[in-house]
Amino acid sequence: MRGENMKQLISACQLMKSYKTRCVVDHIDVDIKEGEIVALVGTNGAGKTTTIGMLLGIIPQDSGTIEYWTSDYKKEIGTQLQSTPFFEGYSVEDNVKLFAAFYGISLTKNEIDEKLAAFDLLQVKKAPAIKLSLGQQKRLAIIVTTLHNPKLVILDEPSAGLDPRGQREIQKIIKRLKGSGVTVLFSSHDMLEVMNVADRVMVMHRGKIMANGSPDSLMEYYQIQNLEELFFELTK
Amino acid sequence: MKAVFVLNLKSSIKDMYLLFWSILMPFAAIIALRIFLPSYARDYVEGIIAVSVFFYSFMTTAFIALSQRKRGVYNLLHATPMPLWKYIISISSSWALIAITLSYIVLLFAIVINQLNFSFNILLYMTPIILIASLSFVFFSFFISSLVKNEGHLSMTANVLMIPMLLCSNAFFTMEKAPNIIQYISQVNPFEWFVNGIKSAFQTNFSTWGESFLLLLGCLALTLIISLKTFKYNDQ
Repeated sequence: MRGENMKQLISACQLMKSYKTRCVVDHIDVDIKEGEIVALVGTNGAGKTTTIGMLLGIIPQDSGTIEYWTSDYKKEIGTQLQSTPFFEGYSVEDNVKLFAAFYGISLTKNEIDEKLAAFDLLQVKKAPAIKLSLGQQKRLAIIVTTLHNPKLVILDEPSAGLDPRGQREIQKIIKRLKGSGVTVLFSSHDMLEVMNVADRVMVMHRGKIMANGSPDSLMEYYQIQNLEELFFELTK
Repeated sequence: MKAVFVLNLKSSIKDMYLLFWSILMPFAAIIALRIFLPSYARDYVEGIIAVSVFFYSFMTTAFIALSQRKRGVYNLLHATPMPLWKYIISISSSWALIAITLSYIVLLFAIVINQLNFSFNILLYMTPIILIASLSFVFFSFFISSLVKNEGHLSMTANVLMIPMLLCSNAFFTMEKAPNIIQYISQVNPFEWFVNGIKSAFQTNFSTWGESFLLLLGCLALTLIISLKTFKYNDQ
């Protein structure tokens, strides 16, 4: 079966997280194998962002274990959060330099310009990052995510709020990342996007993983024509 | 750390609004005293410098820290390998450098307006006091910003702390005739130690300077530990 020999990058077992009386992530298992594009899909409030937060180590789990392929996982994982936050008072260029510093990287002016140019942000490099359009912020967030050439990139709803052109750009970027050997985990509730890029889909609903497999295998198993139908079926 | 220090310095210097008030208010106070209370004008110079540094290092930085946390950038910082202590010390050092520069500007203005005698020894002894005190106030501002949920709460909390600290000190009036309880509070008041340190630099009173220096050094260590232990990456 495809994937059997792929290296396991993250193996999370029985993750659980509650806020007050509400169980947001309910004893789920998550595994990410090298070279995959994994989509974590679900409705709003399904627990996707909390799951991603736990995998990144920024939200402590109430129970469960997470094993990484390396002890220095923060150096090897690139992160794009749902809100695409940037430091206020810093330009686009300075935000790139700052996050590079957080990863222990020093970039030359030419290197920064190259990265910005590759994502069509060179012309706004001196602009305050928080003043960029949403699409520009998403692209800047992906630059920040990939500054340190990570092995795994985790994107929380990377195309949320974007127009179709912007969404397509993000999909191209995700495929480009895979092409360069980067493993990607992204969350989404756009099933067309998932269909276009994901090797494997994990459907989450009310804190539980309802399904986990390749798009084709899931559609065959559930006898469903497309992933959108699957989404509705599993999240009703 | 150097990159974080330089970038934060660059960003903070561009915040003309905050710098304007940190310079304008002391200038206005110096001029007003010279015009309306010329016999007291010299006596309040140290207090004005101390208040200027205190306001910038405490109030200003608390709002910046709260703003950054609410934007979500600290969550992103948490996902990187940058140790928290390195980040806090780097940006605090840049803010302390600005505070020192502000104090020099206010001192220079006071010397010119009041035609004071100036000796290089004043700067030599004043600088380490301001450095340690401003760092302590910045670390303390991280602690305060972690306690509150929004700007309104921060404003109230900061005022509840700052006003007693200002009033229970020798900054603008002597504590000799104050009630015993006020005198006791002034003895354990870091702002009082700061004011005494600056006054002793002007008077080249080494014994009082040394005492203030050591007390402020202890305050620095304590506030650093508190800021690190209570730092909140997000509001959850």
